[in-house]
Amino acid sequence: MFYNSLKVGLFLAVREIKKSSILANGLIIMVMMLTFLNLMVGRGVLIGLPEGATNSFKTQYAGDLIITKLDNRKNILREKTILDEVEKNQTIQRYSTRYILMANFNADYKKAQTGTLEIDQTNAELVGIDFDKEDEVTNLSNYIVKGEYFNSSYQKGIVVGSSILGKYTSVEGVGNQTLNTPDVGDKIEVVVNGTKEVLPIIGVLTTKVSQVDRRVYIPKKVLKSMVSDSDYKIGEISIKVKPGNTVDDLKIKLDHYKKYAYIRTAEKAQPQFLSDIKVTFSILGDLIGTVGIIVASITLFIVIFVNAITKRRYIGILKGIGITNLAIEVSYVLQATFYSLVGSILGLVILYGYIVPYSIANPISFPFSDGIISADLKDTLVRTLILITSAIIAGYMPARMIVKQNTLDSILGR
Amino acid sequence: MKNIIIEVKNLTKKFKNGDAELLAVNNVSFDIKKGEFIRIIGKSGSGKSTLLYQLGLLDKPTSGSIKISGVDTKLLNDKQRTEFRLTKLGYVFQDYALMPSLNAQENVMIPLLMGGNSTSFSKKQAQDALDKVGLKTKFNNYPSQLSGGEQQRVSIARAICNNPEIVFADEPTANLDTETTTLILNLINTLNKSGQTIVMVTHEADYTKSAKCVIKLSDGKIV
Ligand SMILES: Nc1ncnc2c1ncn2[C@@H]1O[C@H](COP(=O)(O)OP(=O)(O)OP(=O)(O)O)[C@@H](O)[C@H]1O
Ligand SMILES: [Mg+2]
Repeated sequence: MFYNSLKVGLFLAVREIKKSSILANGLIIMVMMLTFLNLMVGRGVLIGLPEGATNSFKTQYAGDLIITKLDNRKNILREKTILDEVEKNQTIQRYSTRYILMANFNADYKKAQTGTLEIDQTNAELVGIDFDKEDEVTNLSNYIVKGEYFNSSYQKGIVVGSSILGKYTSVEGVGNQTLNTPDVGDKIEVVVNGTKEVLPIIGVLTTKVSQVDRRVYIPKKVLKSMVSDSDYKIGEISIKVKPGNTVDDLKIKLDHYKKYAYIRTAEKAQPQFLSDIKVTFSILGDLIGTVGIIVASITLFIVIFVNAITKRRYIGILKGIGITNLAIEVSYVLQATFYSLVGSILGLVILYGYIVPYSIANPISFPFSDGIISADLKDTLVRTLILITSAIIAGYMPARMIVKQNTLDSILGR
Repeated sequence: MKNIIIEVKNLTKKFKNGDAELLAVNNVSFDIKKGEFIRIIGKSGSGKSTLLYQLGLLDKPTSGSIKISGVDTKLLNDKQRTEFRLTKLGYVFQDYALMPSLNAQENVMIPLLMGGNSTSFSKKQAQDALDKVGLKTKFNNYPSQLSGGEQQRVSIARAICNNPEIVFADEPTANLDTETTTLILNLINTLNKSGQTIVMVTHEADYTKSAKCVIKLSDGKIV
């Protein structure tokens, strides 16, 4: 009897769906699909925001792995040994070394230097880079908003992070003193360890990483000519791993240098507030996701309930001619499964075929993040499964309720 | 007696409507023999349908007993009643009661599939049954594509396809014109001639003439 019930249930479900109008089927499937997307996208945006920030931190600054100077040191120790090892390592695709020194930047260097208050000047990190290598790791040239990036014929100058120039930032305060007057093409005086040099601003860059935007970049050759050899030392190495290799393996390889420098993956190196935001948003996202699932279940329940209620008389007739309750329940469960499955598959196609690629191509621009819509496949599948399960329950309950009613009452509609 | 197929004793169905009580079926007793063609007649509201629902196990009586093929139906649980309806009883409703999402053949097939027959066998049986009621060319028509008489014939085919011991019919021709009525009644007569037990509620005056095999109800009582 059990097998017969399944068979009849399937028989009825298939015909029921086939015989429904395209409009009715389309409408139910659309509700399922929208429910699915509603479930995925709201949460996806919340999770995607800090994820986008992490992404930016990685692609615009840290690479996969970043080696930085210890807190109480001026630079990375044993830089030659570390660099040799980095050079030799086969899993490393690219890397960029950065020579970092605190410097003073003065836009009013032509004026008489009377009181410091009126002078348009600020302090920031001056970062010497091999601009081609740096560009390969962090794509800095992509983030130039005015002027240009260094090139072999144009390198006696500086590229300035947007937070340093008043004309490019609104972030001004105690911690962020800006140069108010200069723009691309203007010259400013760079003072590093007593050496003064007047250099033109050849470009302004703005990224989603505040540290980067608070820096002034200079070709390392130029920096080397300005400072003594003992000051010309590596402060950071950003490393990109070859595809197919994991950053964790590389970290293990380099970990024995941790006495000389911090060896951290981009995720570990990112500022604490980003990790905190990620946790908070993820909790918020889960909350929204849970509410989404409840709303989705109720929506499904209503849609399927209304559908079953209109069929009450037919359920009664089926019972009247000896069709088992199980067969009738199976038929409704299968219909619900069908609708939610098709809706979810359509949703998945739209999510991964359109929404996610679109959000990656056109990130939602936030100050600290290029917000993408996060849709981790495993997570999505779990949610899809939950959605389909609740659809099945939503399909089962009304069928069960009607099947339990008096057969004659159902047939006679009383 | 061995050839008694339905044995009704002191059957009563009471409806409560607020304070008012109505005995739609009032303490009736009768036997139906195998192969008989029983007509239940009576005025509107006399309790004919109510009686047939009890006999067809679509409803439960307030008191009294119905034995079908020796089985006291009071002792059956809901699941067993459903199975009983499937295997032993056929029911023809006044308004056909076909599934709109199934075509003629599929409507007839479901009880067969439910009975554990293969799809191909069920299809064959359904076609035979439809053939028997003269719908050879309408297998694939949906109820909405059939006339009232044709729908009623599908309903009859569905009721007889499982070879039930008894076929119940509640005014199967009430919504049909005289010509179609004759067709349907002839069909039921033919069924009966081939040995099928039939219990039918009817308005047809003809049948009142022959006192044989008629149960006449008035206010829920046999008169
Ligand atoms: N669910 C119910 N609740 C209350 N009263 C009911 C119910 N069903 C039927 N009745 C009453 O029981 C009586 C018998 O009804 P029934 O439907 O059996 O009559 P009938 O002989 O089939 O009439 P008709 O020829 O019009 O079909 C009627 O008075 C009817 O109003
Ligand atoms: Mg009636």
